[in-house]
Amino acid sequence: MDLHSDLHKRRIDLVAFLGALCLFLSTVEYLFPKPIPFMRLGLANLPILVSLKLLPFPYLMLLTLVKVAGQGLINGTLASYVFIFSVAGSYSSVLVMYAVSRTGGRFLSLVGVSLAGSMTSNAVQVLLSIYFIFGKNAVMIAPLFLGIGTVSGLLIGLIAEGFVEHSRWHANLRRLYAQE
Amino acid sequence: MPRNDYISTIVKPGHRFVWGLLLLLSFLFIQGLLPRLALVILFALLARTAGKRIKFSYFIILSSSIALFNLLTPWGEVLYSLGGFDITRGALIAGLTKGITISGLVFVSLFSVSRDLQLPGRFGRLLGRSFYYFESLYSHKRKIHRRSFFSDIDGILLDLFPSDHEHDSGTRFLKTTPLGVMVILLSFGITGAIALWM
Repeated sequence: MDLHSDLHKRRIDLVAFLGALCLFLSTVEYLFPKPIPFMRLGLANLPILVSLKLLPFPYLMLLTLVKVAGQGLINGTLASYVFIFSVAGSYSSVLVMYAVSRTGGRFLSLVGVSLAGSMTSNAVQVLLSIYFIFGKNAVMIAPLFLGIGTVSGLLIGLIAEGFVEHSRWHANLRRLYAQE
Repeated sequence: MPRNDYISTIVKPGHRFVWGLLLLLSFLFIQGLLPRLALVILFALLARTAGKRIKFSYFIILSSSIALFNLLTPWGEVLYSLGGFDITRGALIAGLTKGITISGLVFVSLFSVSRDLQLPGRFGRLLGRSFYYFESLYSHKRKIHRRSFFSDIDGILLDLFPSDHEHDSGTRFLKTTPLGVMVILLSFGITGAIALWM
């Protein structure tokens, strides 16, 4: 990262704003009905998904850190196992979404990218829960978790596609921050 | 801070974090199902005093499911048999202790970590700026309706970012009061009493 350029400062400010948007969307998630009981839609992932082509990789990593640390501080889970699950799930998901969006190019929509990220995040969290909480018998609940991850990933992907297509704010950001 | 966060009015965020860490260490040092359960109840009360909403049903389901998964590997005296499935004392106690411990860790985190806790360095400042934007977004929450969710959000985002204004992350002056010190000492006293009971 070039620490002193004007573009760097503007990107850092965008990371702070997108991080705030992640926190905000997680508070308004209750407005949406849950298709499956206990399922979280994961609206907080939307800003990361729609900024995959706006921000370079190091800034995406920073945005993910702002999201997980901010949620940990606001929800008070920073010093608990929930935070470890959140860090592992978020980072694995962002790494896979970034790789998939770069290799898939224009042949892959945000729905596909979101599905890949969501399933990765859920798979990593199931592995962690087997290791830390439930023990090896928890393999039995893995299909359920991965199924829920597929549904939420699909919904978030569709929402992200709609948002990128219709949002004037996102179009403005693309104009200001699009990578060369 | 949450509307009913009484702890934040008497204990400074940094002191609160250290308080939580020390209680956490005591919690992990104390063995046995009942003493740990007693401490979990204390931590749940502190979390409620910190204005955190706790879904007790979630923690009951979590602890029960951990105990259930533990029962699948029988260990110790058979307490009860359901068909071909043995409920064993060792597996049941180990499972419940694990479930209760995990719930306790979450409750400690809920009351000891506050949004005003300042993380050090450049990242701490970035997070402070993010919270400033979060407060701005949150103040527009009532403008969002389910039917027009995306156009409402889009309007708010266009208003707020990018902004030409310089902003202040708005740190509040917070300190630990004598009442706060008494509450901290009381919590350690209760923890010590539970350790002696053990």
